[in-house]
Amino acid sequence: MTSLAIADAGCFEASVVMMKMADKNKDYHFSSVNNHLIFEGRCDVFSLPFAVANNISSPDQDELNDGEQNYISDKHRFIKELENLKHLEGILNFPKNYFFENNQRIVKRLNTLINAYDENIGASLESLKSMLIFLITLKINFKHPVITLNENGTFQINWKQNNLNLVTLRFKENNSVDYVIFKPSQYTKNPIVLNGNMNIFDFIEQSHGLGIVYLIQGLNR
Amino acid sequence: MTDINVGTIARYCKPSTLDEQGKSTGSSFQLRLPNEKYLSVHLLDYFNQALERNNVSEVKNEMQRKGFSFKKTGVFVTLDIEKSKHYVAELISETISYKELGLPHCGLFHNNDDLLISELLAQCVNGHYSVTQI
Repeated sequence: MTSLAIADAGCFEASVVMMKMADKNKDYHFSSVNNHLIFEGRCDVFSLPFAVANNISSPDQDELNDGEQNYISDKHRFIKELENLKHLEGILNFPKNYFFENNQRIVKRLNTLINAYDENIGASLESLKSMLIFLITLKINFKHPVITLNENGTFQINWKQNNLNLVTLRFKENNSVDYVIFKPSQYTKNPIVLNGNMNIFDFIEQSHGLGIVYLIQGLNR
Repeated sequence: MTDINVGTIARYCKPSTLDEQGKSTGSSFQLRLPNEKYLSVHLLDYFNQALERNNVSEVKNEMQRKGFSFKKTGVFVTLDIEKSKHYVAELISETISYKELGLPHCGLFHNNDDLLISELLAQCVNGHYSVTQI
């Protein structure tokens, strides 16, 4: 029996226990750090990431276990903490306590962008907060995105496999996000193009259905 | 305003819109304010130099003459007018247009989602020139 950490969820840790290793199909069992069962089942090993994604999204409030309840209460706590920060320096320091080691690079990147930005209107603190809330509550350990600061002061992130397979998010005030998604089509050489505006928490939940989690998700802690 | 349908344009991209490798991104092609009507670009063909790099250098000089100040880590990127129009039309069936605004200055106009168009334009970039190397 092998235990393999495959996902980080910010405030609870998910680990998968694989059994019957010679078998193509694997049993999986996800537990929180305090060993409460979150979900379990059986699927083809290649479908496992999708099973994970489907199970950790949109939890039913009536069936929340301790791990999920802790996650949600922590999420509300750090959203409130972040919303109370009024100065850029405090906001920039905030993610240091919440990002895993490989995502600390983001803190450095944000400082670089702020220093490079020279528009009269100033960087949008509300956009920065929306982006940080999005990344912290993403519930998965994400790949390092391309982060940029637009001339209008809004922050933008992008995960891209190639020109036809990408997601770009532009964060606005009130936890709102503009999104552009390109996905390969099975029927034409042109990509499927999705764009619009959504609340960031709706986007996180919809991202599993949109099939873009694999673009965002990183495997290394 | 006269439409321009062929040629190559250059756009200056500010450092905060570049990725960590100093390459342009969709951020580099976004309108600065909601009421702005166009992206500011310059027509390279106006200068008629043999090398694209020299044409970009002329754009830099032109912008400096008009009082624009560059950051050391900024870059100029170039796009082919015809190819970029075709690419946007092919992928999302929408049109963009390049119009003269007192040559070599031109405007890139469109009436679509700014984030989407900027992403497509970023994919049409041909050349990158660091401000300090031209």
